[in-house]
Amino acid sequence: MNLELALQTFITESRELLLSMEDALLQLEQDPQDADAIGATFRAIHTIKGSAGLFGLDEIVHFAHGVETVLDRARAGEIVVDGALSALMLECRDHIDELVSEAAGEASGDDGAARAVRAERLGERLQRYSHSGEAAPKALPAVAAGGEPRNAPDDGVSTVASECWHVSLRPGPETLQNGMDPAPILRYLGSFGELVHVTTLCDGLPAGDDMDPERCYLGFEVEFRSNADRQTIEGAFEFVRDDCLLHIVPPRAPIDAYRALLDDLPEGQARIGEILVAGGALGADELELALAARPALPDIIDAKPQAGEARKPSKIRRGGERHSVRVDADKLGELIDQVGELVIASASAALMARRADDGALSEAMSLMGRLVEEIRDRTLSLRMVEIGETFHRFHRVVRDVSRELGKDIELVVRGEETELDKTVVEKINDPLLHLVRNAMDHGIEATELRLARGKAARGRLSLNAYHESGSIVIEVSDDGGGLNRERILAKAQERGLVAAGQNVSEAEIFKLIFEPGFSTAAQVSNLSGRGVGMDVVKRNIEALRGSIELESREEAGTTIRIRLPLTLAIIDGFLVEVGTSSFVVPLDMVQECLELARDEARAPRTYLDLRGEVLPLVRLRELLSVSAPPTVRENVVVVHSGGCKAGLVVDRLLGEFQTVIKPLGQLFRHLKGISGSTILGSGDVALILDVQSLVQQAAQRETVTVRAAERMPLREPA
Amino acid sequence: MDISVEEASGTCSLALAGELTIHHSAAVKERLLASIRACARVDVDLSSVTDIDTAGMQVLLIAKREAEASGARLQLGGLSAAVLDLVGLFNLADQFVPPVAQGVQP
Repeated sequence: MNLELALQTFITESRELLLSMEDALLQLEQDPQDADAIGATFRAIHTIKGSAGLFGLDEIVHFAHGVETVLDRARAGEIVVDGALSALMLECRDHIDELVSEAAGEASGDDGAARAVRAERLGERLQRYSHSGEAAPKALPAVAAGGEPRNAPDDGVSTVASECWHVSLRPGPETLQNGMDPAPILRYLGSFGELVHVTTLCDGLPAGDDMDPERCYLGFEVEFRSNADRQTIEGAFEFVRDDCLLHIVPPRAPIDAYRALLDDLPEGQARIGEILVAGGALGADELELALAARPALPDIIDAKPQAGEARKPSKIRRGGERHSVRVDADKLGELIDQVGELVIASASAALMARRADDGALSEAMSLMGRLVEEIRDRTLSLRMVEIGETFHRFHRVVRDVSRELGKDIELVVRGEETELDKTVVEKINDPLLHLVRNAMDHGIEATELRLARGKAARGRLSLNAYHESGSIVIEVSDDGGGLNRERILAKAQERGLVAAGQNVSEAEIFKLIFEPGFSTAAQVSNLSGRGVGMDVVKRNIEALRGSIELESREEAGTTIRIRLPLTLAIIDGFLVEVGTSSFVVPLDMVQECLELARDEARAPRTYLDLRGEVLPLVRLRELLSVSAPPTVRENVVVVHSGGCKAGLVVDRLLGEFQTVIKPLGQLFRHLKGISGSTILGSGDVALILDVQSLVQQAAQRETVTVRAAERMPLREPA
Repeated sequence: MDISVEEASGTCSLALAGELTIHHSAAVKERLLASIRACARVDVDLSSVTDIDTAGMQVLLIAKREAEASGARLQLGGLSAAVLDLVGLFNLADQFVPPVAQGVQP
C-alpha cells in the first residue's frame, strides 16, 4: 500500500473533521447543552486520534487524548461546557490543525519550540478540567437576571458514597460480527481491578424468531473497584468505543453524573435505578435524590435568536450524508481539457460538414454538436462547488474578529447552495476575507454609537450569493454607518484625484474607494487599512474577469456586490483578425464595433471621436508586430474595462463564439496583453487578449498625450 | 460444534460438544428452538462445551425465554468449566438454576 497516499487521505479527512469540530464548538457556544454538538466534537477528536496513531504521529495522539478525556467528561455530564471551556476547545482545535499541517509537511507559522510551549500550556488548562471530579460542576452559563431560580433540594454538588467506578456498556449490535466481544473486555478489566458487581441486561433480547444469533443484545452495568485512572479504564474499551454506548463514572462522583445515566440509558429510569441500587452504585436515598426534580434550566434571555434569524451556524451536510465520489482534482482537470479538445474537434468537423454541403451529414453533425455541448456543460459542472463551504468558514472569522474589536456582530448567510467553479472559489476567499474584516472594523459602528443611533446593539453582517444572467453575484452587506461621502471626497481632493469644485456623482465617489492606498479610516487598525486595500481586492476580482460595485447609505449600511463569471474555463469571445492572426476579445468587454473609414486611417490617429468622447486607439498590428499588410478597411472594436474605454483596431471582425480557454505555458506567463489561447475549428491558434491591460496602457498613454497637448491648442479634425 | 439429539417419549435430549461461539451460534439456535417447539421437555448437556462467547450465551438465554413462553421445560445441565466461567463473569447464575429448584418456596 502506498503510505504516502494513505497519509494524504489522513490529512484531508482530518482537516474535514477539524472543520466539523469547529462548527460543533461554535454551536456549543450558543447552546452549551447541545448533546449532539458535544458528541460530534468528541467523535471528531477520537477519530483523529485513532488515525494519527496509525501513522505514528505521536504528538497528535498525545495531545488529542488530553482533549478527548475532557470531552468525554462533558459527554457524561460531569462537566459543563461553559464559555471558557469552549474557547479552550477552539484553541486546542487550532493547535491540532497546526500539528496536522506540520504532518503534511507544510511550513507552519511557528517553530517546534513555540509549538511545544503552546501544547504544554493548553495541556495544563485541559488538566484542570479532567481532574475536577470532586469539585462542583460549574454554574450553567449566561443566566440573565430574570432566570428562574433553582428549586431542587440539591444543586448537584453532593457526591455519592460509592468508592467504585461505575461502567455502563451497551455494545453496538454489530460488535460481535466485527470480531469484538464484551466478555474478554470485562475479564481484562478484572485484571487490574475487582469486578465488584456485574449486572447483565437481557432486556434487548427479542423473541426467538426475530433474534439474530450474531448480533449483540446484551448490556452491562459494572461496579469496578480499582486504583487505575480513567485513561486506563477507557483504554479497555478502545476497540468497541465507536459503536457502543459507554459511560464511565468515577468513584464519589457528583449526583449529576448518575442523573445523566438515568437519562441516557435506554432501559429507563426505573429499571436502571433498580440496577444501580442492587449493584451498590447508589444508596436508596441517593437514587431518590437523583430521580428528584432537577434544577430547572434557567431561561437564557438575550441569547435567544432575534426576529427568527437562526444564530446557529447553518449545518452544512458534510461527507458521508451525500452520495459522492472523491475525484482527484488533476484527473478532473485532464478530463476538462480533453472535453475542450472534443469541442474543438467537433467544431472543425462541423465546419467540414458544412463545406461538403451534405444535408444528412450536416444534420448528424448538428446533433453531435449539441451532445458535445451538453457534455462540456456537464463536465464543467463537475467542478462546481457550493459557495456555502466558503461562507461557512466566515462564522469563525466573524466570531474571532468581533471579540477582538469588542463588538457584537452576527453573521447571516444566504444562498449557500449557489454553485461556482472550484478555481474561482479558491481565489475569492482572500478578497471576501478583506471585505468582511473591513465591514466589521469600519462599517459596523461601536455598540454605544449604534444604540445612540437607535439601532440594535448587535451588528449584522450578511453574505449572500445568487446567479444572475450567466454570472454569480456575491454580496457582502453590513448595517453599519455607511460610507461618508464628504470624507471620501475630501481625501480624494487631498490626493489630487479630484479637482476642487469638480462635480462628482455619488457612484463616482464610491468608485474612488478603489484607488490604491485609499483609506479614510481615522485609525489604520491592525485588521484593515494596512495597504492591502480595496484596490487590491478590485484587481483580484478583475483578474477573475469579474467586477465589483458598491452601494451605501449613510447611517444605514453598505453593500458590496461582486460579479464573477460562472467558470473561468470557457470564454464567450469575439473573434477578430489582424493580418493572418486571430485574436479573441472577451465578449462582455465589447461595447460596440465601428468601421474605421479609410481616410481617417490614412492619417494614423491615436484617438477617435466617439460621439463626443475621446476614445484612445490601440493598433493591434503595431502592438503585436503583425507583419502582413493592412486591409483596405479596418475595424474598431470598442472595449471597456475598469471604467476606461479603448478602441482596438483590427482588420476583420469574425463574430461571436464560445471556446475553451487553454492557459499559456510557463514560458509565456509574463507576456503582457495576452491572457490565454484557444484553438479554432480550423486548427489555428487564436490568442486571447488581456483587454484589461491593453485598456490601461492606452488610458495612461492618452493621459500623457493630453497633458502634453494641453500646452498646445487642439485643432479640430477636418 | 457437534449437536447430538435424541428423542424419546416427548423428551428431547441434546448434547452440545465443542465451541459454542459466534461461528456456530446460528446452528445451535435453530436446533434448540426446534427442540423446544417439538418436545414438552428439553434436556441440554453442556458438559462438553469447550468454549463459549457472548453470542453463545445469548443463544442459551434465548432458548430459556422461548421455553418459558411456550411452556416447555428446559434444563441446561452439566455446565462445563468454560460455561461456568462465563456465567460467573456475567453474573447470570440465577438464569441457570435447574427448574426443580425454582419452585421451592423460601
